Amino acid sequence: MSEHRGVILVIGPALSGATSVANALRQRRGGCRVVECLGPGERPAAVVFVVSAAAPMTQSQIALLDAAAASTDAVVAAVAKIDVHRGWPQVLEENRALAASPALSWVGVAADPHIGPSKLEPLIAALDSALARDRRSPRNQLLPNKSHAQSRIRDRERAVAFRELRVARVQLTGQARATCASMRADLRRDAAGLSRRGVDEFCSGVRRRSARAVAELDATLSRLVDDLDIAGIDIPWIDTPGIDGAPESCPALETYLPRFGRVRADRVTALLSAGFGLGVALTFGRLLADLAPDWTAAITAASLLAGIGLSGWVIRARGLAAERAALDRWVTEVTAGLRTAMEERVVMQVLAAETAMAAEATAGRNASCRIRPGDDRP
Amino acid sequence: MPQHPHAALLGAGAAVLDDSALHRLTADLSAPVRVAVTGRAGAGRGMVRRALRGAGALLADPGEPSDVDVYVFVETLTSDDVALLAGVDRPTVAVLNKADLTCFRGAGPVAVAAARCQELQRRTGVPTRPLAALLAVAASRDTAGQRSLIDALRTVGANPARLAPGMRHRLLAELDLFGTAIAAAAVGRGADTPALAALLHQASGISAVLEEIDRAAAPIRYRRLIGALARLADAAVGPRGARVAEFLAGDAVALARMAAAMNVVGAAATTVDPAGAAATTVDPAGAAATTVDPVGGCATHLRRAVRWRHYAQGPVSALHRRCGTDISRGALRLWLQAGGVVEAMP
Repeated sequence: MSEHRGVILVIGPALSGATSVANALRQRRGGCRVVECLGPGERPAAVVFVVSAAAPMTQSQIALLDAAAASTDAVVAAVAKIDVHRGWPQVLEENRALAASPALSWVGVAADPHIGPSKLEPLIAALDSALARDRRSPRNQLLPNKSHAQSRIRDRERAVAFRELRVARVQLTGQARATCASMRADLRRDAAGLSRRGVDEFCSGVRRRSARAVAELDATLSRLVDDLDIAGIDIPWIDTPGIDGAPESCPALETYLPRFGRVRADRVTALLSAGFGLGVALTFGRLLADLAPDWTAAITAASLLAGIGLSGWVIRARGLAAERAALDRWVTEVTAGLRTAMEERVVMQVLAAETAMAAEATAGRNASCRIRPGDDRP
Repeated sequence: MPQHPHAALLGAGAAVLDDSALHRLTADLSAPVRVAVTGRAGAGRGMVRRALRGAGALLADPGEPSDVDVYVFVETLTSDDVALLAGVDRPTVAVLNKADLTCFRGAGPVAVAAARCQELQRRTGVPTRPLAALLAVAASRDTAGQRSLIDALRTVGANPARLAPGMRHRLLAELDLFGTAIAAAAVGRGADTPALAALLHQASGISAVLEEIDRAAAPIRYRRLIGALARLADAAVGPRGARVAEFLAGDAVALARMAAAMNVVGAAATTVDPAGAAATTVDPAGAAATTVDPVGGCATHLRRAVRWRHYAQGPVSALHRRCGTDISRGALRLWLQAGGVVEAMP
């Protein structure tokens, strides 16, 4: 800290007279180190910002002044070359009005005069009082801008956030995949043991489960976005259409239910079942009729009834098996679609976050480039 | 405003043809270019405006479209100035105002400012000239004002302490330090009113700025000439059309187009490479393009025609392509005048 006490940074746009002011200050204030460019990691005790008295400041010069004032508390602005520019008091007043900080002290200097004696006393007095004020209350009252240290911290935070985002993307994609796989296994097992009456309930159950899986993913994603928002990055929430409430993204249920478009299969099943029933009735009827020839009429009627009943049962069993197979296929399709949708959602949200962070980083870098001292030189 | 050479040429044609349309075109061509003054706040735009008006330039009224822009800055170009100059879409001349206050050491303020302007021009590609607008305005003052100034300057030279405060303020306001110094020295040497005005005019650098504006206006004049000739071509039909057509196809028009085109490419070459551009791009004989070289001109003209034909076929803008074609055509006419013989292609 004691090293910082001695460094006075003299800064100004090209041809503003900053070098002359620095040389004059170097002669007049032997105890201080007067520099025009800071070394790496150096922090000035005071900054003297020099502009020419030829004309009021331009926007780029105002930005340079802001950058200089952000790094320290003690800033003195000097209007140089007042020996040749007679209108310097007006220029000084206009500069004072243009500068963002009304507390900034402005002085006129003639450090290397072409006409008359040099005039440096007001600058030295202002510098002393600024240093004294800084010592009393070491806090930047001029401009509470972000300093270099803050921007460094911000850079680090940003890098950490980028890494977290990448990890989150991998984790969330894996989570979506695992959720869908376990859901598919469960639902296929359920579908295999389903009765005809339970089909509708099973279908609405599938819808409920996929909606719940999407809601869980959304909750995780919004937690992630909130975490990044805390780090100061504004991330837009991407609403991917067709995911909310998942069923829209599920394939239409009716496509896979065996109730439609299977008239021919039904007929074949009915024919085969009837043949089977008739065969069973004939075989049993003849066997029983041979054993008890007296009851032939009753036995024939009973075996016919048994054959018809058997045919009905086979038809029903065959229908149920077909429906279960269709539901199995449907469950596979639904979970595959859900997995794709969830992965897309994760990727879109992470991409939006990365874009927002990159935009913010670029804006920050541009701002720091714009206000870098010496940038004014054409 | 004096007639521009192109206008003079058409005027001669108009006198021969006695055509009212041609007379109107002549008037259009000799109209001066309108100049607009823009630039950095506090750089003295108002004073530059007064100086240009005093030196005979036509200034565009606010809101009126201008032909050439004058961008006023002081000391050096800031990044704001550079950004603005990079985005201009009209011919622009940058003017370093307050050149009389640049530096009171070494070669003097105007020389230092001129060197700085050359450097800035090299960087930006915009023609840049120093100007002390205050001195130019003082030079364009009337005789009575000059005479009272001369009295005050005599007092400064003889005994500065006896100068009345009002007069001192007036000298500073009208001439500032450098102007007062050179004017007092000149008056001490016995300069009279016209000599003082000439000195201030020369020291202000206004004539270089006017020249640069004229040079920047070369494309505009060329376009005006081309436009005027195109309109004249409409009159080349009807009972009296044959004479107009003959005039349009004549050597005078071809050479006028060549001269205007030479100005355009010459101005562009000077801006790109201020030092010795005229010698490289526009050939040395270019200045005498409208006259016939008596000795050895034949081969020179043919060479020039071939070279500008190649230039027009090269990677240049549409304007420069037309200029190259016009120069080539004019050179061929000169070649014919110098005794060139057209050979049939085998």
